[in-house]
Amino acid sequence: MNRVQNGDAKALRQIYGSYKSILFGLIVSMLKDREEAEDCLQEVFTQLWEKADRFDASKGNLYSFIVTMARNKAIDRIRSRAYKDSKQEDHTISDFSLTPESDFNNPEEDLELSERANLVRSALKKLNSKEREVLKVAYYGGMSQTEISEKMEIPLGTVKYRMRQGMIKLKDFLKQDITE
Amino acid sequence: MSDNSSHNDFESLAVGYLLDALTEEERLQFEKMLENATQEQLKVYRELSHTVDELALASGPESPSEELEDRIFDKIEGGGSRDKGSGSGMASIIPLWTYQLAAALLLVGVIGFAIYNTGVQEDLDRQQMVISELEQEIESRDQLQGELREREQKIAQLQSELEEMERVEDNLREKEALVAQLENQLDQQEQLQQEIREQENLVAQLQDELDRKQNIEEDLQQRDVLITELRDDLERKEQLLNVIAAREVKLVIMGGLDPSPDGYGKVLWDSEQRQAVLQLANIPAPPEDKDYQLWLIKGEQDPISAGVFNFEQPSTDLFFKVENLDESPSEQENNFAVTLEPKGGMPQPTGDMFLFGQQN
Repeated sequence: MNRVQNGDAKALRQIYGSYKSILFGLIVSMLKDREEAEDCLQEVFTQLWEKADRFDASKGNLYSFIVTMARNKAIDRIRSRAYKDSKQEDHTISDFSLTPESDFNNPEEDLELSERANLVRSALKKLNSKEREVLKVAYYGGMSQTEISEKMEIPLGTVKYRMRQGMIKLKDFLKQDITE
Repeated sequence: MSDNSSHNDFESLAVGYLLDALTEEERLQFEKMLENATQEQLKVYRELSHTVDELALASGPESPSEELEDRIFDKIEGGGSRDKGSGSGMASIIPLWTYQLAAALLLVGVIGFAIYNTGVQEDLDRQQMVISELEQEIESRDQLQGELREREQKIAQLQSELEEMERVEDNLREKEALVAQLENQLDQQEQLQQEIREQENLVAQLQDELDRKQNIEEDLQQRDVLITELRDDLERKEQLLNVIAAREVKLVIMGGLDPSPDGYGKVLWDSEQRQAVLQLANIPAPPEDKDYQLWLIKGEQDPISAGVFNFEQPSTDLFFKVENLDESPSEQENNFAVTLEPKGGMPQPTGDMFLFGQQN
């Protein structure tokens, strides 16, 4: 990323090669529209190039930085009034724990990402379905806790409790898997 | 679950914050929390943040179109604006005055940048100082928080010890009360035992008195028997004296026969008053189922029963009043005989004759 910060577009191309599939997969899962997702991914990489100086390696790794940026861009789109108006009624969200095993077929993809993806899916399967559902809606749907409460017709406190329990368990499962 | 505030602890808010699912108010609340977070909380926050990032991997990879890469890099490499520096150089024919103007502008720029840079350096130094001061403050605040936590822990420990002591005291008080109760019961038991001992003494005294009374009663009974015997004896003797005192008394002496040759007897008969006294001597006591029976035999007539007699010890002075001799003597001959008969006597003699005598 240092090279990108120094204006090396080739380095950015390498980053694109490494992360395009995972980022595009994430954005498509959120927006449910490949064309819209491509626009969003373009926006992500354009911003990564333009705001490369904002990346501080001491505060986090590149993966976190770029994934956070992609998700935020997708949430911005989801939350824009025009998007809500056009898509809200058809907001089906896939269950991420049921997504097929990783099929990174691009040779440029990092093998480590594939292994980590399998660990996350396995950890998600260990959660109970109610906790998984709330996390799924929050993460992919970009919904606030209040919106989830209204959409799923469950008390706000329950949403918060399930979200908290789900994430804490997930954190612990992942920690376990890493140490194993 | 319905209490919303109970779900706004650090972890809950951190999860909501990282998933961008909080309200504006909650987001600000958490950012404040994060500023004052402990090392432990920061660690949890970092781990949760990492977990949220990892969720992106669960969505499954998707390949964007080939054109997208071209679009992106055409935009970037084709002079797309960038905050820091630009990519490739621009080769074109430019007039000389443009270079002169550019050189002048560059000179002004360099001078300006130098001035600006000095100012920026000063600003940076000041900011660095402020940062150092803030870091020191944070450090001292962390230290104070640490001390505060230690004190809170100590207070909690002391409170717990105090509660434990209170519990022990309560237990002691309960045990003391129990001991007092037991002592009371023991006292009552001792009193009861004392009373029982006293009553036992009383019973023993009463038993003694009862025994004495029984002895006295037995003594009295024996005396009554003796008195009765003496009275009977006296009565017999009075009758004997009455018979002896009569004007005409017939004396019939009876001698012993085979069963008891040493035996003898006398009949003193007051025929006028029709009463008599019998003496029996040296004949054995009759068996339990037998009595001696006295018979009056007038001449050739059948014997007339004059009563049955009994005694336990043979003696020479056994005197009996003859109750049934309601007969007048015969002018010719009056004989008396004593036979041994079944208990109660018989109408006519059936047993052995022990004594026999004739009136002279």
